[in-house]
Amino acid sequence: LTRLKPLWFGPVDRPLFGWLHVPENGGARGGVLLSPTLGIEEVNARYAYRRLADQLAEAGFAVLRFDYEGTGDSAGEGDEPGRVAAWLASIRTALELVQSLGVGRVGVVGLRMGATLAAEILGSGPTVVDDLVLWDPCASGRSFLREQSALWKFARGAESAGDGSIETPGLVYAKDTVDSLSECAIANGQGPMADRVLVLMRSGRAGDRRMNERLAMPHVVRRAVDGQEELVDVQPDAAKVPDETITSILEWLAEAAPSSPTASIDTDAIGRTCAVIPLPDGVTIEERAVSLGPLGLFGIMATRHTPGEGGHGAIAPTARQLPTVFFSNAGVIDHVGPARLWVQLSRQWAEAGFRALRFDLSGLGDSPVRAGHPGLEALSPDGLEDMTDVLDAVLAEDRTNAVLVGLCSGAMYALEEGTANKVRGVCAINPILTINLPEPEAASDVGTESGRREVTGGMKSWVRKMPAYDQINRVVQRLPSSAWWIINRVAVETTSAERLAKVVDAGVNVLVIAGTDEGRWLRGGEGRTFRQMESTGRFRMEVIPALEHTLFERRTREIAAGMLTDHLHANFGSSSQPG
Amino acid sequence: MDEKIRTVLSEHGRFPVDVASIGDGEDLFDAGMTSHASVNVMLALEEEFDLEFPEIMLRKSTFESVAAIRAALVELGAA
Repeated sequence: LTRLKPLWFGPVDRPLFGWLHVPENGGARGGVLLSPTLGIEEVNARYAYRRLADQLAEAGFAVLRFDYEGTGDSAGEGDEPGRVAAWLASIRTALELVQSLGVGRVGVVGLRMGATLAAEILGSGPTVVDDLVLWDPCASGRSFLREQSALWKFARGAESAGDGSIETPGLVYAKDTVDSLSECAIANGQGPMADRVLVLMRSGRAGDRRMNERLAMPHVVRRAVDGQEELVDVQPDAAKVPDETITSILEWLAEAAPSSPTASIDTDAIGRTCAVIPLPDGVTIEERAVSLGPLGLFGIMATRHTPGEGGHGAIAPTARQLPTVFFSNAGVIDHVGPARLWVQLSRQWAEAGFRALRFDLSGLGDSPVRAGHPGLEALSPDGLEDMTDVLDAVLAEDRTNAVLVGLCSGAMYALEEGTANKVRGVCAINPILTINLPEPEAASDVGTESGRREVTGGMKSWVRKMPAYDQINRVVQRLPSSAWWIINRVAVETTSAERLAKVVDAGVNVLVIAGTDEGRWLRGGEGRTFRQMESTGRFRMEVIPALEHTLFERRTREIAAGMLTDHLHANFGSSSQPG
Repeated sequence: MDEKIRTVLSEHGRFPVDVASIGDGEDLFDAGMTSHASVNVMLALEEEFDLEFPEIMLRKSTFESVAAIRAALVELGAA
């Protein structure tokens, strides 16, 4: 019912990435900009924004959702100086794009810090938008940083860095960013912000006094909404889209918009489908949005940029021999990967001559949902078919010339698909191999096709069906290796070690990076199998003490990233022997 | 004060058990309070007692039990 276009826009030397959603027939009766929040909250809310954008487009609006400079797929780094100025400039640039569509009425929706940053821009000076939705707004950047910092300290027992920077889950704010962000507040400014303002506050929260006083204006409507804690105050794989809130926003925007289209939008004429991305060392690489396989899975291909050799889209000669690197979702986290790591690695590795594709499995990130499926599933039974479709689409002639990189469930998919296709390499971070995909008969209940490939092992079904399975699982994971050996024979069809051995036996070069606990669960008392794998020269497992499972901690994330890069160059780089 | 603390815990702690069944010195995180929920507890306590926990108190141990929360609030002069 809607038309979607991934695009880069804004400065050619610092392009921003976004998605434009328009009604199927191109006729729009208004424009809406979705201003995202920051850090782990943005990860949680990404799918909710996608759904909001889809529903607004179905209701006749042209909608732009985008990534701030240095976040998501936009150019730049998150820890550069001047981040707050760059984020505010990103909103202005994105707003200019929406206004340039010629749709007449324009609105802005900001969630959490997205609301605070939008208000910072719109709060002073003359009114430049018709509608503004402040969705569970942070009263100030200071309050946001305080909450995020507390979350990280409570979760990890972390201490303050002492240099004025603040680490939060997945994002470190440098001192100058902390200082600038702390000054942003809803209470700043004296203007009306917009002709109409809707404030959606969490049920049960009174809100900051200064913010409330600032928003006490006749044209401001205030409503309470539920579901915010279930959206942003949970782990990413538990985030729930607040459908009622989305409906409230949609209805509020629609009630003031014209009933018929005010402009016809030609999506081909808007933005750019590829971009030249500058890297911190001054080199540039090229990125192109791609649609993969029969379902049209979404991905971004990064390649070395070679001006004068064919311009946009040219692939450096060495890239034809080097393997293509594939990054899939980390659990439900989309193609930017854990804490944006896939973006950073794909750009670095593209500079080194590899082609690097980061993509979304069906129902995750920006890929379509398969018919009959709910979407947003970390362990979708369709994951393996998606992986096959992507390899087919990119490496139609030789699917073996690939290195698959994954984390958690993404690592499991990489190992399974790597075995099936005998790819050159798999880099698996904290792979979870004692789990199975949903039972085939359960999958058929929701109308999926038959003949789905199953993964090779996991817990025996009678164990998984035990009422106290979760509790038992927590206990057994603390047992010594000898006890694990026994459990492996009683309760697991194929142990983690045996599953890894199958990959190595298929001739695949395997690097496993694991935290202390994950490494112990993987080894599971099967030291002999591990020694046999290591003796082939195709297997290595690196255990990083205190590695945070989803790599949201900077220190251990950087260690893991260094290991991955060293491994890629040593085993698959232009000077390495065939792996 | 204890009643207010327990009301906040009940409304924002997202415990899988009745807060009344949790002892004063019992570990709230072991009882099921997540890191996310503990931040919401912190914010709700600040709103309820009209104060702000200083940076030095933003640590897990401040919110690990009803007794620990009470001690922190008393230290901050909450009534």
